[in-house]
Amino acid sequence: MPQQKPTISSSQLLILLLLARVMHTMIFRFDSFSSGVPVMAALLISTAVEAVICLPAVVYYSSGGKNLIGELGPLSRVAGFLYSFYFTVIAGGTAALFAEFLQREFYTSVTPVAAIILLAAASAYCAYMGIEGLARAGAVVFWSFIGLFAVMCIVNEGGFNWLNLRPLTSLDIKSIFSYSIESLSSSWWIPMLVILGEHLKSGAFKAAYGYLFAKLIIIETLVLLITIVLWRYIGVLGYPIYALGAYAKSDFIQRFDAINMLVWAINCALVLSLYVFISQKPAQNRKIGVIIFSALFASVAVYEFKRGLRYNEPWFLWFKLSGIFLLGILIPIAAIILKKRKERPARI
Amino acid sequence: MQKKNHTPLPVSLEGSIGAVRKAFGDSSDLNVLRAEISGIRCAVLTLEGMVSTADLSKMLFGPMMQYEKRSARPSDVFRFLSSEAILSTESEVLNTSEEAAEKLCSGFAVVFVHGCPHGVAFSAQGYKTRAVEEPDTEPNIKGTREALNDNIRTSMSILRRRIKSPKLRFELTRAGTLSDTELCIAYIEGKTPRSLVEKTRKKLSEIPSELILTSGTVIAALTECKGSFFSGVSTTERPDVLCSKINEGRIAVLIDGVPFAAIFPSLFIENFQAVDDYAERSYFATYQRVIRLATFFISSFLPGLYVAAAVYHPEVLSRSLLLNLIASEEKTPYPLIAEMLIVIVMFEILREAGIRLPRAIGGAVSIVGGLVIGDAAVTSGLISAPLLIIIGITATSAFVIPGLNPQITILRILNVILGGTVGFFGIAIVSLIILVNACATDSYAVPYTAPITPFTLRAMKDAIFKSRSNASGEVVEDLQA
Repeated sequence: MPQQKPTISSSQLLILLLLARVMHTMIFRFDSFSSGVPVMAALLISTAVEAVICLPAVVYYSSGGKNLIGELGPLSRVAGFLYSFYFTVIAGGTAALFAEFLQREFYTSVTPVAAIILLAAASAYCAYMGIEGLARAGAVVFWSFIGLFAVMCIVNEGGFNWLNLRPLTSLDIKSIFSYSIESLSSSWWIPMLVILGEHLKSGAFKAAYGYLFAKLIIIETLVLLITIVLWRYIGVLGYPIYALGAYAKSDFIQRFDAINMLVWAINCALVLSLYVFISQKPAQNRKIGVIIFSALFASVAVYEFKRGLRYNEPWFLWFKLSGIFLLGILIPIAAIILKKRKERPARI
Repeated sequence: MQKKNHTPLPVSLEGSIGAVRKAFGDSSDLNVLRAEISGIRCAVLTLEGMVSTADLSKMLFGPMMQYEKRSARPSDVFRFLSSEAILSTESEVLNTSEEAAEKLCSGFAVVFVHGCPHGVAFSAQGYKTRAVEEPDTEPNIKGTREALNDNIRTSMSILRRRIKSPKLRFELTRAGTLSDTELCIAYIEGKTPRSLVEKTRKKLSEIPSELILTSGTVIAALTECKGSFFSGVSTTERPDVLCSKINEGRIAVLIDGVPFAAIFPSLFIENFQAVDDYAERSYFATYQRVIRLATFFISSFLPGLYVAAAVYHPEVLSRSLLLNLIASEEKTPYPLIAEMLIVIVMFEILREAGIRLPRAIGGAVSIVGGLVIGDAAVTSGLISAPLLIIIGITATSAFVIPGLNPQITILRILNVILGGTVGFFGIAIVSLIILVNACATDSYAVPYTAPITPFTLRAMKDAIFKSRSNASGEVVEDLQA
């Protein structure tokens, strides 16, 4: 059912971007954790930087731009494939990390390769349904996640230890810097905004800065909770948000781990669908496009998983950062310049 | 009906009768009554059982007998019949044998006069139809006891009695290349977007089917999203439901010979609303709607979640429940997923038998199924008691929302298969696919999942939470994307 004129609201785009960010945080695995305060400080810094670097894309769409990639003229097809490549790798990394999470925590239920294949099939179908379906479903998934998180907090048996909030010292500057870079490398929401902006009815500014504000609140809250409830246990437990679920207990439901995973899996498939939707954009036929790019990201995921490569490792950090620089900053700036040039003769 | 190769009526009476006989292929139900008026030969053609003989004698034969004119010409007799004599509310001059055949099929009587290449058709329908009965499939406590009727005219009058306003519009049209079935588009002028009415007209005129015998053919033609799991077009046999829906700016299509009307655009959330909600206090109506919504999730997901939790995620279940479950499952010979599928298939067979069998025997099926098979299966150790309880709850929940039964049945089986194979992960995949499919479904520019997503505050007042006021707004215009 591909739609003729798919449009989404700024709040729907905001939620989709948040879900992608939350997914990245969910599958982030800590092997060691000294203190949450530097992470919280780094988040603040990276958010401030993101607020500046997203300006070209926001300015383009706020000034009446409709198709940022299309502004590049003959280079638009090349640019389209660059975005496809970038998001195929990101999707592959996300799927590989989720498969690793399933293998570590739910090894009895599904093998990693089977999980990747199922995720690829589901995301191909969902991406084919179009951006409106994804955006509407995103709202349901987002509020389900919030609901589950609230329930887990209410029935959580973990105690708060405010002493875990160790004050910052000069020794933390190095870790703040590295965490900031790491957080900044997770800002592929800017290239996402560049592609999805053409489906926005209006309100690119609202979507971008609303996202930054909401992300800051949600991630800072998560880090705060992780710090005051789990602290050094994170290094042992691995996935901090998942570990928070392990502390949630009730008489009716013994443990929330599997229920937590259920919502994660839904979110993972939805976010992967979004990446596939972005990747297939240069394809002429959406049906073929989603099949090709789902197969591609599944292959990347299986390769990464088998070879033990993870996109949260240092070598990958530079790939993500350079992608954000090129696709999120340089291309939007070029599009604005070309748009201005096109408009100039018309004014005269 | 497509009109091709029209044959003009001949001047001679026998020629005209012969042309109509040829059109019907000498069908036995074509009656020809010959008569003479002032020495001019005439014939009255009817189809067996389609006209009322009492009306025919009052409207046609009475005036015909009174016509006395010396040296009358065929044209005088024809003029008398077409403009003076017949007392029917609907009459029409015919020029071709195809027009005559079409009118005869609609219950008209056709009169031919020797020497005139025309005929007169007049309405004298008198076929037997079912009386207005209680709505069988949508019973209620405090609403009307009248249901729509097989006869489209009766259904139209039932609606008109409830909305006594000239703003209620009926537009008759025809579809089905062989059945030539009458369809009626019903809407309220000023509340329904004009574009929606025009689109409906166009879609109905393009129905390719030869026969329209059920609402399914019309629904298929009206459905916009062909790959959708849910349908953006719903049906009802309740006139009160129909009136409230068209008052919200929707369109209803009545079908001659079918006691159900198709309504669109239709929303997912409407499956959980009932007429009785409007007779109850707001808080109680809201509570009932939440219960109905819960039954959708119970009937679709509970068996799958049960299998997945018991096989792959036992940590979810409380310790005492888990111990009970282990004790019961130890006695059964099959894996839990196979056991669940066997019971689901068994339940579906019993349900199907209950529907297809005559009502008198239908009760016996439930006794055989519920008591004999169910009890024997547990006692013999073939099926565990907790699993039977799960199926019992699931089946009862499904009965609460009959409108979604096909979707629930398929979802339930998919969840059991994937939940039993890859645990909660499989259920997550099924859930997302169905969710995205439902969210991508648009019915005439109205999202099927509205007003929940995309969220529309004004329409939410009568979605899950029933507001105190029962006044209906123009919901369709509010929700159109």
